[in-house]
Amino acid sequence: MDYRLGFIFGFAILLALGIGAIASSNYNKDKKIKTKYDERQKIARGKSFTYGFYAMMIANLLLMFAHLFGLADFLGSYGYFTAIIVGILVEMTYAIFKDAYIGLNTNTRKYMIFMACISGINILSTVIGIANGEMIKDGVLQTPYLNLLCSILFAVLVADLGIKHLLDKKEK
Amino acid sequence: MKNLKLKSARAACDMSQDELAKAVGVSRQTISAVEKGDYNPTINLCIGICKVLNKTLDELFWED
Repeated sequence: MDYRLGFIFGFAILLALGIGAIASSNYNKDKKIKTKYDERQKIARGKSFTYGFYAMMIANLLLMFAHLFGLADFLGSYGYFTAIIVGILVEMTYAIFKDAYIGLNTNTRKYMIFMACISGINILSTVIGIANGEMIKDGVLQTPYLNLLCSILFAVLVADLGIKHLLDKKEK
Repeated sequence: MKNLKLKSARAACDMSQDELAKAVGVSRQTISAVEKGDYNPTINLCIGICKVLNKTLDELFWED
């Protein structure tokens, strides 16, 4: 069973990378997989990754204490995933508001539509999971919780990009 | 410190921030940040801007 799990995870990672590559070549104006950033954006992105990492570490630390006092038992092993999502949220929000998230060759509108679709798919999976009673089992959150987190992540991403777009319009 | 020399040189060339950014190969926000003095550009970017605006480094980036 163990080697099958490894195979499934490996295949899932390859599939995710493949979908990511196809998607990025689709929403990039020059149809290339690699997103280009200028020198200021690269510096800001470096800072955003640093803050994201710190946020993830703090979230992990809080989670550890919550587990110690039995306050986060309902999260099960998905608590660590929550910490990762917190880190990603901080990283992308900082990068977006420092104009370092959207690359020089990225079509912002296409990117936002793509991310909104991913959020929508995850909301749908969450709703199906809740309807089937799969969200909580024995007082512990199950896989639909991951869909819920992903839907929140992508919805916040789209909202951040929308707010930044409006702020830029005002500045212009 | 605001870079008013860059702003006026760009305006003299009748270029928008967006047009200058595209000509240099950076984002509009980067040009805006340089003009506002929020970002210190590398020498490569300074040279790129000077070439597009037909100015020297001293004319655009030297502080008196």
